[in-house]
Amino acid sequence: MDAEVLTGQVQVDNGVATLQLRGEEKSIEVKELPEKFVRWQLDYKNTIYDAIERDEYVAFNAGHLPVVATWDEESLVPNLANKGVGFTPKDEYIEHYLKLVEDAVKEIQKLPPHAVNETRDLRINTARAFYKNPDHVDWRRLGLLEIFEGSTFRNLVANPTASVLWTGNSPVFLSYQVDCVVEIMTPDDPRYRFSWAMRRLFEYEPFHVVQTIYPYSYCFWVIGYKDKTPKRRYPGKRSDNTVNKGEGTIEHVSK
Amino acid sequence: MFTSQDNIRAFIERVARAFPNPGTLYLVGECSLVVESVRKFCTEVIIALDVDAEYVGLLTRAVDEAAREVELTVCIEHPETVIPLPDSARGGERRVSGLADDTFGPLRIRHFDPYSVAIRFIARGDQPDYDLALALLTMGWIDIGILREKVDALLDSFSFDTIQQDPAEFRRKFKGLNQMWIAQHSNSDAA
Repeated sequence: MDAEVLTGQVQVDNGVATLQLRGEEKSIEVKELPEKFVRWQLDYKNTIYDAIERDEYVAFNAGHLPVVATWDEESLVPNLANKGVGFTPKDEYIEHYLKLVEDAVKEIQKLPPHAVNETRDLRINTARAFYKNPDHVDWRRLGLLEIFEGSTFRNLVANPTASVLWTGNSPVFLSYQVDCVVEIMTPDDPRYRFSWAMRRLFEYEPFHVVQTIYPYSYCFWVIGYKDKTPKRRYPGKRSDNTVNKGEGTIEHVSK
Repeated sequence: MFTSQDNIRAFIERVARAFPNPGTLYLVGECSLVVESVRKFCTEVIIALDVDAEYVGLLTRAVDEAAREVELTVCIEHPETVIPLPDSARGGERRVSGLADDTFGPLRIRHFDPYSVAIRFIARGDQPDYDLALALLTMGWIDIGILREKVDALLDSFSFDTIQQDPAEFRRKFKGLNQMWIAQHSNSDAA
């Protein structure tokens, strides 16, 4: 398929995504991810960076590897796949962070790929430098790299919409479904370059299957989300939404 | 969305300026970690107030105005209004690093007793609440053995009415914290 057609399927302008759905043009408002989810992402990334810093075993990276569901018009069931998902800087900051991460990649590429111990500090510090400024992250969009051009890719070409499901660790099992429209990007797009360079920082850590071919990347624009974190259900209530905030009462007053 | 140490300090300074009277403003939870530079930011600022009855209105207004000026969402909540507290709640407060008692005039700034804070937030049990309790353990502000003893001593007083949840749910959450702490500890030991 022609790259121009692919990359033009979804256009986002002034916070509104325009796309063709079943032959009709649709406009859908793009949304920022909720604070609770953003907070979880930042904390989770920190714990992963801490673990990499200490060269510890990373059994799974729930914040980074959600399940992505895609489907086309003919699909009886959706296609599901765990995908590595990251974030990209806001447009006004992307040049700054792209230079930061690409410069770090240039440095680490001077050494052989297996020299992960020698480059660890640089790699971790670079990744942390981005996420330590949460206001610089565009929380309206997710960044993914395409590798195999399989079912996910074919579905997104036919139908540029997707749902993503994250589930965190015990005992909270924080869980969010995020619904998106999907812009396909070629390697010249700064968002592709940023996602690729961030991946390259950790490409040769044991928790990554090394990949060298990424024909496209995706910008998943958030159009909706649901908090699916499990809560105990009590009779007459949908959940145990309790022990939250005191909402302004001062009960303890010294005499 | 994200509250930094500078934001919290600016908030406290404004409260102290508007309330030149004796009293204590307790930092409760995550904001303590930010003030102590353990975290770069928090997403909620919870405080508790201890003040003579005649000053309650004045201090509450000072808090509201300061929060508005600094554009912070501040929740006034004494942990005692949410769950029964351990015996350390009184007297277990901690000083704020680098703050002299008279830094903010007669208004004292303290961290609320960290054992009470850990138990209160585990009762809520959101992801950041576990991270908070783990941070308090890592900082050495609380000890897991003593925390277990304090929880054991409280369990009889925990009922649906006092903690707004099935006490079995609290036990599940607390066991989760214990397992997370052990897992974190065994990782550190192996490193």
